[in-house]
Amino acid sequence: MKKTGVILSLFFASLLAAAFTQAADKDAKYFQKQFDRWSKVIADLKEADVTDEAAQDIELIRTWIGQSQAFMASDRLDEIEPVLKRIEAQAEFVRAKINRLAAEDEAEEAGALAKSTQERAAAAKQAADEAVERMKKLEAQGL
Amino acid sequence: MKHIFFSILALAAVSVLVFCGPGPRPPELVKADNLILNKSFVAQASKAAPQVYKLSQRYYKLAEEAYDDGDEEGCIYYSTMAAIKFSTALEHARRLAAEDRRAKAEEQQKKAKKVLAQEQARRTDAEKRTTRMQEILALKSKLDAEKKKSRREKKRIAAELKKAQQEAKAKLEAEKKAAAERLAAEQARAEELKKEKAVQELLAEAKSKIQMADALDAKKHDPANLNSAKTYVQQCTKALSDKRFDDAKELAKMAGQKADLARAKAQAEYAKQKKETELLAERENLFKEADDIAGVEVKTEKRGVVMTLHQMFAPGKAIVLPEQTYMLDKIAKLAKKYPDYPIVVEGYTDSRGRSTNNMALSQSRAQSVLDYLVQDQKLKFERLKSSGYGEARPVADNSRAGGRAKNRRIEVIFLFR
Repeated sequence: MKKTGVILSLFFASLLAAAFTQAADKDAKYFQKQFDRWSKVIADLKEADVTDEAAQDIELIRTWIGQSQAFMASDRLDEIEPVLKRIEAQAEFVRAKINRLAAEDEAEEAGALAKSTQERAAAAKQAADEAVERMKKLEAQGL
Repeated sequence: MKHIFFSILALAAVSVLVFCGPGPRPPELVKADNLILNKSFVAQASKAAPQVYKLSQRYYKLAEEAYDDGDEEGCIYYSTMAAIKFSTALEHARRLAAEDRRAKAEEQQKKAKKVLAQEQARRTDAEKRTTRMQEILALKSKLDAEKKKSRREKKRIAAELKKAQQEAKAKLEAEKKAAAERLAAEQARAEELKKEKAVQELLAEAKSKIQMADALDAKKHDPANLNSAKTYVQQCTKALSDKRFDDAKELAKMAGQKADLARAKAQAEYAKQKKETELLAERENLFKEADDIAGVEVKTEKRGVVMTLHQMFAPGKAIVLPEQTYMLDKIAKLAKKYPDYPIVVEGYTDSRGRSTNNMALSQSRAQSVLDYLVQDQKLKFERLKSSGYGEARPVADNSRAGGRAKNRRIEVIFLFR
């Protein structure tokens, strides 16, 4: 999970960098770079989405990239920027979702582990109680 | 009718609103409405990610404005952005909640681990103690079994010991009984032997007494008792062979008594005879020795040995002539040798002269001899006695000188006892 966090943190940094440069350079080359970068982000997000629960959300980003590419192909460059913003927001959402899922997994895992440990503790308590009971029965025999 | 009227009126109002307003809300805006107008979601999102939430609010406001302005494209864009941002904030909220749950779960895990460790320790401790107690119980059980075994063994040994003791006691009692019987038999035998021995001794004693009696010539002096003794001896011998010891004892005693009587009598006789013999021998010796004295006539009479002395005095005198005292000395010597004889000195005269004078003279002369024997020869006065008989008891004829000379005499008589 730490690895995923590091990766996501790096992407977040790159996204921020992309956001800063986006305003300064809006030409096609810039957009193409953005598309390539978002394609990589998608690949990374898909890799991070180990449970495929964010697959539709990631697919939506891909759709939006395709839409942006279509805009660029039809030379409707002004319409690309809002889509890229949506992509960025969606990517942030997906990352938050993946993090949430990971946290929930971890919480569930910790809960399961805690439950398991509690069950083991309960079993141990029962076993200890039984052992104490046996001991007391033996003690009751005058030992 | 009223209802129909109001329904138509409401329909008309809706139609006015529909046709005069900005048109239907696009799905993106409806979606944003559903999210942003949910108070629970708002509370979560605003708390977890306030910046993102504010951004979503701003986009939602822009979407409302675009909708109000009839800018459908802008409304959709801002609604989408508002929904994405709000969803992102919600995801943050959910992540934080999940992290809280994880922290709580970890805390629970920690506590559970602690409890687990405690319970395991408690169980281990209890099991150890249980194991220890089981071991103790096993040992106790083993010990109990050993005790039972020991008790059984002890009981068995006690029974065997008791049996052995009883057997030993019975054996001992049997041995004691046998020993007592042997002892009684031995005692009886010893008693018999003792009795037999006593009888034998008594019998031997009786026989010895009989022999002694025989030796003392009891056959002659007391034949009745001697024969009785011999008869008792025969009867005693018979009783002994018949083991009638008491009878034998009595017979032996009686034989002894009879033999004693016979022996005593014979012994008395023997002693008497012996004494008489000795006395006779002594008298004979006395006679012989007296006879050896020159000038002394000796004769034995019934009363004793009579020594007659002549010419001891001058005529008419009563003093012993010195040349004649040797006879008195010899007589005194004899008297000392035979001290048991009382001595009588008798004086005699012849028949001449007056009888009274003769009597006095004879007494004086006898006394004179006595005095000589007492004073000169130291004989005891009480042993001696003197008497004068004058002319009495003449031993010869006074008509003749030779006869008168014989009648003038002193007789010293050693009296028989």
